[in-house]
Amino acid sequence: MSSENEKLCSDFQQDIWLSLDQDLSDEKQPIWQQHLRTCSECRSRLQALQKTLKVYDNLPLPELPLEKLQEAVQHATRGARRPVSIRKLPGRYKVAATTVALAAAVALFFLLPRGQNTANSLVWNDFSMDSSISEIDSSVAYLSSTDHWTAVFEENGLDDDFDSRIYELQNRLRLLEEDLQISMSR
Amino acid sequence: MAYNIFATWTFIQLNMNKSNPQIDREIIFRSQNGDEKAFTELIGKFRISLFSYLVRFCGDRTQAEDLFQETLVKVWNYLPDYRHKNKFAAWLFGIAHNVAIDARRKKKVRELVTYAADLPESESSDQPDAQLLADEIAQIVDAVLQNLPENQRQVFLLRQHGGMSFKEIAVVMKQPLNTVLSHMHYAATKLKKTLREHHVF
Repeated sequence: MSSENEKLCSDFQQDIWLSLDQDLSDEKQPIWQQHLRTCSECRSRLQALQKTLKVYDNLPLPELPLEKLQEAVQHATRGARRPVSIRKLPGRYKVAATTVALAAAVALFFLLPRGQNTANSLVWNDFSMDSSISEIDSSVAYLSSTDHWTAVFEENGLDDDFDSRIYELQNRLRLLEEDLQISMSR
Repeated sequence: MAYNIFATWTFIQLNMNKSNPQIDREIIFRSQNGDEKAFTELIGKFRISLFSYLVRFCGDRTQAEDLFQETLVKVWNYLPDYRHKNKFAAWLFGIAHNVAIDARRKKKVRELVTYAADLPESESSDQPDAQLLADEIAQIVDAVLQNLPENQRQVFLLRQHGGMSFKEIAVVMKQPLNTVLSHMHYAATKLKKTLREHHVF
């Protein structure tokens, strides 16, 4: 066997699995097809591996009884889910969640008292800001999980342009923060 | 022509038993929204493949039941994070993989048993052992799997039970594709060698 053939055989060992999964690149596919036509050793290796997996696939599988499945599902769904981050909500809820969050931010912006009184009545620092944003986030996640909001957004055919809405929300929150800082400095 | 037929047949054979059930997106949506009936239906589709993956991973049915339950707790909890553009089976088995690895790490189980000691005695006859029952072959296979290095076993099981592509396995295991392919090759070659020693084929 030439050294070139040896290298081909060695390379084929790596690609053999991609070949079996039909996941080879377009460049490699014809190379290995040609190699298998001429190399009985690689063909034989391929067949042996295929037989091995066939034996494995035909083995009886250990089954989980249905009652155990029910038990496991009940156990899993018994506890409350952890709080959901707005970014990780299922696609169709993202629009609802983001828009509600935007509405909350805008409402906060307009409804909060401004000026000297604001600075005196609020202690606004990084910690409280984070904590407030987190509260808004959780409330939005809760609100968005209701069927009512889903129906409203589906009826209006709103697209799932989540990122742009998040960007918009962040800008609004930044403006709110700046406004409060100005109020505090007065 | 002959090779093409062979390749097609091989592909069909190898994928015939791979677990990749068709999942209705609506079932996932409903499960994400807290519908327990939908969640039962969703997990029910993977009842056999997921459980057999865990049994073959840990080699113990009782422990596999615990791992199955633990996996479901995480799946239920993290389901809202699931993105529909990804294959659900790959996501599910990715979680099962992490649960199984964590459990092993916690117990600090080291695979020190030599598989030869666990294997049934090989027949000395050259005749193919037609009497070797499926359960005995399963025992041989389990012994081989339990004595494989962990990475090799994981790749092999994720591929055979999870119906995952090697690229998906590489993502779940956070390893380069070539490394994953090598693990699969060593695992399958070891299994082939042992099955031949026992005249399974």
